[in-house]
Amino acid sequence: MIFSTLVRTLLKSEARDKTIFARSLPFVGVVLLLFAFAFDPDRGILERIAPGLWWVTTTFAALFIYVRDAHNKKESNYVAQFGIEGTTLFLARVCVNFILTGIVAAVSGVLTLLFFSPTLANLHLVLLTGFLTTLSLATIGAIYSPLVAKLHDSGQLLSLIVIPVLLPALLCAIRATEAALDYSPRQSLGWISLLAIFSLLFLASGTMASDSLED
Amino acid sequence: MPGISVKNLVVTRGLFPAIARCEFKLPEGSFTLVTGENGSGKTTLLKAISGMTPVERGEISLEFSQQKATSKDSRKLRTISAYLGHTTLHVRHIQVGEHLKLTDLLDQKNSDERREYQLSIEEAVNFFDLKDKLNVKVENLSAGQQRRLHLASTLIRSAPLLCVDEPHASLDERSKDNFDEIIKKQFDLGRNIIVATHDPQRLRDLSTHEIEMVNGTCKIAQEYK
Repeated sequence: MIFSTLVRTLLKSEARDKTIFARSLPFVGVVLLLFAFAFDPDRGILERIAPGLWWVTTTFAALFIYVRDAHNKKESNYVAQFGIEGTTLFLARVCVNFILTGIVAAVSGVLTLLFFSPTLANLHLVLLTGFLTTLSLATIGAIYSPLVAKLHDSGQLLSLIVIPVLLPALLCAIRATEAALDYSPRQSLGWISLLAIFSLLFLASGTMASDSLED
Repeated sequence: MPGISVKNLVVTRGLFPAIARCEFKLPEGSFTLVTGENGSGKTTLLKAISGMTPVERGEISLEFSQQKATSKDSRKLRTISAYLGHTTLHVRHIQVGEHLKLTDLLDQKNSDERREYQLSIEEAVNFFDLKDKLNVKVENLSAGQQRRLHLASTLIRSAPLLCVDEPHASLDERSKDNFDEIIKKQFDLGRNIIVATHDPQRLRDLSTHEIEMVNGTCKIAQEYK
């Protein structure tokens, strides 16, 4: 009950703030469009860079969402005064981040398909990669946004600390997508397994540290 | 003895000790005024008692009719004391009505039964004159209206202890009188109350104790009843 109330409230808050429509999605559109025009389509570069661009663009666009969350100190403090379990708060944040990052990743994926026309093979593996990468991004966002919330310039700091932590998961996601689109499902599965380990690791460490994070 | 017990309390803000070796006991059913100059530690004391700021040393223990918590578990302290700060805390993007319902829902986990002193959402809306603002977003309210919403949101909570910091700030005269009236009613119905104020005269008739803060130290200056 508390969990669903928190998720609903945080989603409502985002729906009225419109960060995703005002910042994240326009950013995705502009960057992908820019790259689509910047490279020569005849040399096959576009197809090759598509997986990397998809995930890098999604990561940067998702950062807008997490920075907004970090800036909402008053909202976090308001909820904190009810003595709600840190784990409940953390998982609610992960859930909201997952939904919002999922939207960004989906739009970014569709635009990548449109602009870069990669061969669409092993769709189930691409979707599985999408799910796990979104989970990793959402979890790291939920861990770090309350951590930097009390600091000056929390937005810049968040970007600086989130990207290095996400790097291994991001590399796995890019490799897994590349391999899936390249008709190498076995290789893709190897990267997906590694990605799954990272996702679980992030989720487990965030849950364990949730009380300290919220305090 | 049930009530509030503060032993050898030290609270730091950065490296600066905002509260240094503060010690007092207040019985259950007390209405306490906390007075002192700016920077004397009134807000920090109230936040520490409400579990909103970490305690460096010493202990705070709260015990009210079958509910108990100490500063070792600040989360538990937050469930039995409600803090009403002088800066308004809100979820900005939701409407006033949604905000009150959210407060009520989040508070329900702390108590299954409604307390006699606990205001219902309707009572709070009527009392703080928020009826025509129910569909207005919190961020679009004026400072005074936000303050009224903050007061209303705090008084619908079930916590047996209410820590109120500068309750009259940003309120017009009518709202100040309204607040005094409702706080008196809350106290009569059994809520324990601590108010930090620069204007103790307004509430002195009600108070049972007065704590004076001087440079982070405190003493019970008066025991009226």
